[in-house]
Amino acid sequence: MKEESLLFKSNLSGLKAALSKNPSSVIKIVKKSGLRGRGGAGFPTGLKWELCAKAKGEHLVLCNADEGEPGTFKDKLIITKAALNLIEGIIIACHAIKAKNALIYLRGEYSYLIPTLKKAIRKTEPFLKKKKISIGIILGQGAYICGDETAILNSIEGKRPEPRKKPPYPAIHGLYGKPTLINNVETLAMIPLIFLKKFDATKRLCSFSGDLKNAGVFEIREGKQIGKLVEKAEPIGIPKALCFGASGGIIPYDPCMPLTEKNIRDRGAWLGACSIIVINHAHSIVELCESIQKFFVHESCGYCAPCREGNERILEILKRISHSEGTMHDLKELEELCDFVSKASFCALGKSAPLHVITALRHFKEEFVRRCR
Amino acid sequence: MQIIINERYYDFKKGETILQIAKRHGIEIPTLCYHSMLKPEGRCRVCLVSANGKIVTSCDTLAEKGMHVVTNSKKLQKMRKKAVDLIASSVEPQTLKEDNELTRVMKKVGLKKPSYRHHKILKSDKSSNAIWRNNNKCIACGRCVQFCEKIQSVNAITFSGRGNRMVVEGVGGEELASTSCVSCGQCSLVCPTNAITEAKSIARMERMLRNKKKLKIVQIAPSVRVSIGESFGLKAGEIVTGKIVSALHKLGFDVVFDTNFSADLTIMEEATEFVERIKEKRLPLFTSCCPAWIDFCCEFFPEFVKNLSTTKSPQQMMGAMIKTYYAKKRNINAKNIVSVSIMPCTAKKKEASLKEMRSSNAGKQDIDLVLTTRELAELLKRKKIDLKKMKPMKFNDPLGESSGAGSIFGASGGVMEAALRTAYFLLEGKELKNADIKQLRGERGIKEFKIKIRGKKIRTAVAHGLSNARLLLERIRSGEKFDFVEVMACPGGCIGGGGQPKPSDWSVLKARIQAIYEIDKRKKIRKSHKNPSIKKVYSEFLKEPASEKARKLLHRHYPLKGKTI
Amino acid sequence: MIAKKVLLNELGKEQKKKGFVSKKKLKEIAKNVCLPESEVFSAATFYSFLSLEKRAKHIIQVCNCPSSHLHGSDRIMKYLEKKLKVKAGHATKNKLFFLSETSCVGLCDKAPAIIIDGKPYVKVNEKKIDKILRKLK
Repeated sequence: MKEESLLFKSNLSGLKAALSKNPSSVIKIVKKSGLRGRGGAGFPTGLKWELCAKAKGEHLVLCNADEGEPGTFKDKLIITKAALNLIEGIIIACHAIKAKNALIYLRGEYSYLIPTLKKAIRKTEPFLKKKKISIGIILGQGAYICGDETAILNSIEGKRPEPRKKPPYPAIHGLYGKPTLINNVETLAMIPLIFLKKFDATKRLCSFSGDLKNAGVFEIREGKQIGKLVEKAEPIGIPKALCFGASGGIIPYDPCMPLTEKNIRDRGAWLGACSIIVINHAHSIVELCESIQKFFVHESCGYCAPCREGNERILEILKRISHSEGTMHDLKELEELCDFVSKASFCALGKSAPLHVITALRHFKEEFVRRCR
Repeated sequence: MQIIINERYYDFKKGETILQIAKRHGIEIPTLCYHSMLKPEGRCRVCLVSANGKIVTSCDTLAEKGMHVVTNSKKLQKMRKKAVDLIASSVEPQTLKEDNELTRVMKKVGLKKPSYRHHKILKSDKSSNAIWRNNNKCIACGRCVQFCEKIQSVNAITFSGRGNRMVVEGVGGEELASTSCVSCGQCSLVCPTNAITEAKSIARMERMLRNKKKLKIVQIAPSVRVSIGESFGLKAGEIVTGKIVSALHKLGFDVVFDTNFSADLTIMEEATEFVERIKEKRLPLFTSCCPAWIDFCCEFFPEFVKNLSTTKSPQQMMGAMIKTYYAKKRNINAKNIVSVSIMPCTAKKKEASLKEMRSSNAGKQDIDLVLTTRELAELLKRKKIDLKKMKPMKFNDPLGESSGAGSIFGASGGVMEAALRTAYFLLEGKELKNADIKQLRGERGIKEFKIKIRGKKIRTAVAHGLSNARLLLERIRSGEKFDFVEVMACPGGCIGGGGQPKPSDWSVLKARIQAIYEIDKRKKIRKSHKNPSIKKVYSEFLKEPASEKARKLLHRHYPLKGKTI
Repeated sequence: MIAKKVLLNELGKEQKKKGFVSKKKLKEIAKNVCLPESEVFSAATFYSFLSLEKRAKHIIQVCNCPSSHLHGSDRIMKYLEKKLKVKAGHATKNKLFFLSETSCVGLCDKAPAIIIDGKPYVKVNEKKIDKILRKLK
């Protein structure tokens, strides 16, 4: 599939259509569209806009372009190929919640996309001037936790990017205490399409990678059989498992399974930002878990003890098992630890960090047992 | 509004957390990083409960109407144990052999030993002569950082790095001595694992006590007598003055003097300075008995250094008097005296080491060694001396008698109250009728009081906790007028000092404050200038306040820029 | 505009310019963005792209995301460690290279990926690495 054709290019027409409507009807239309946040949590976008618009104070729009979930690169594609859609979405959001300031928090790994973004911003100059809106870019400096919508606020304010306790929610009490609308890149890029009646809530962008010849971003329709999607991406070897980013969990590959959030949830995993990593039979799930766990140890912010200490201990045990030095006792300990970290951690990162091990132990336990003494 | 905890209804007010309600009703929920004087941060996750079926931390979760809370299910107990286990596994094993908040929580949750191996080896920081840090004992609870930032507004230490590489560090990665640290030691007071302590002097103390050739003299600060009992199982605020005196003799000290005496001496000099400054219109005058406050002023408000009183602190006045006046009186060379002080304070250790605190000819420090209240308690326990069982004894003469004014130095507002009692007499020529100045007492962060003396309104202010001091100084900076200002670095004053027994919270501090004023109340003589021993010292030795001799021995200078060292 | 006063951008600019943010510069930036030095220091040490000391002339980062893992990032790392005679997370003796892992760089479709001085190299293998390193002196 050609990536260029994935996104309908609005070319300012969606923006114009939206700006001709008053803010409250814009929110109504977004609500009606059925659009849900594409960053992972899936909160209804229109409702978020409405909550934020109602909050008192100077409103801000913040585009979360800190696409840090391993295996996810759809936002990069959107910015590369359709940055204008994103900027239009931002301006429409500003119009809807009456914000004069918007920020794009771009992950440091994507610094080469700044010119692309700036070019798109320049294209919307007349609209920005007319509405007295300014759009700034903030470049992240390498911290996965900044994908969390409260950590991103602390990051911009110059504090340690540790997550904040919710409530209060950013839409009410966000950046510098101001009501802040935080939306993901893909979510915002869909906004102009809504006003051109080109938006389809059943479709979304999915990053495919792993043991595939033709890895890339695909537009998928909810409910499609996973086998058909994987076939299109040309698997290398025989697929064994699917991994939904680092935090989404690992489930067995079942070509007949329709790709729905429910089906994935039923298997203990989480679709999240819609990234699918295909794993073939040549690869060990234990080693994959070890690799993912290294990532979480590296990215844990350290704020709370379960995530800081627990993830390190999980890694220790995984290393032992992976090196065939583990015992059955280790395996039990691993299960208990993962359960604890997933329940006791402060934020979503900590709570979802052990999910890959929890699901791997549920579906691929024999691979672990085989390596235990 | 009502909340259901373990199947029973409890009333609560809006804004209360689950933990607060539970504590109020005696429902036990183990906690570790929680500290009642700080904003709950929910870092350690030990205080987990289930609220409406969801696992939450009780310290930072607000109660809601009709909320169903369970605190003691098997599942929760297991989770808590795991939380403590992970934390206990992260510290060097020695930490778990000591009595501290972590080991006490371990007992509560039934954890005998940690399940995982400790493997981090981090550098210790002994650069400061007031405070030592050992990150191998640190559990990243964040109390010290929050205290340093929020309560003291000093910002000397902070978290650096992230995840399992995160440590508490001096700002800029510097050693503590090179940071803005003012040595108040509040970090050591709130540390649950003694990863931060006073710069330890117990070993040196034991060596000195074994030295038979020297005359060993010790003084105890006003606030030590109302707090040290806690280390021996007594209630906070129990007054054990006489028992400490006899315990110190039993330890091997030859002479026990009272810092309350030199507090009276401080008042004589400071009140005199105040009267002079009124005449010279060099106001406001800031008190100078708190060394952490002096460092704070030098570091953050150098323009006010000229307003600091030049009088030395009671510790240093006593130090100077011992090695000059008392040495002469006993006909002994000052070199053969070991002078020790027992202080509620970590900054006093640094103060004693300052170059200008060498007023005797012995060439050595006036105070050779400072022990904190905590250290004295530890030393007594090591020597198997049970403070509770000691027969009370009196302080030695001639530096042992004190007035009520000297005794209230231990509480915030006390120095001001004591100084006004004497300044009023000096200015007005007659005694203040009611010695109690209640407006200067209590826990409010900034207390203000105006008094008419000789037809002139004297505006005084008192601040404790350095963030309050910062607020007050900023008000003065922007033009507000005060004549006399007292600042104590630690919340509550010296009774809440960084070297005091643990644990420390407002209920403990309040009990100690009450005891301090009780001591004052019981005294027949309530004003420094009425203390017969003070009169004697001036007539025999110093002549009069601010005399040449007094200036040489009892006053000091300040560096123009930067901290005292 | 808010973005002008943002600490992160100031730190990023300095890091890009000098390869590190010196303690002196940290103080200066703190002043410019009106934040306490302690907060700026604490934040700066958090991010993996920022360093308070110069690490080396060239920074080599190996992506450790699951896709790179499946395509042999571990092997690539071991090869680099052996070739440069340095452990991940450290600089070579001559301070020419600093080798480290990095979290997903968003190039999973072209795994394994490495980043050298901010520039991505995709679908790398031993041969390709030899060629790249030869140019970096």
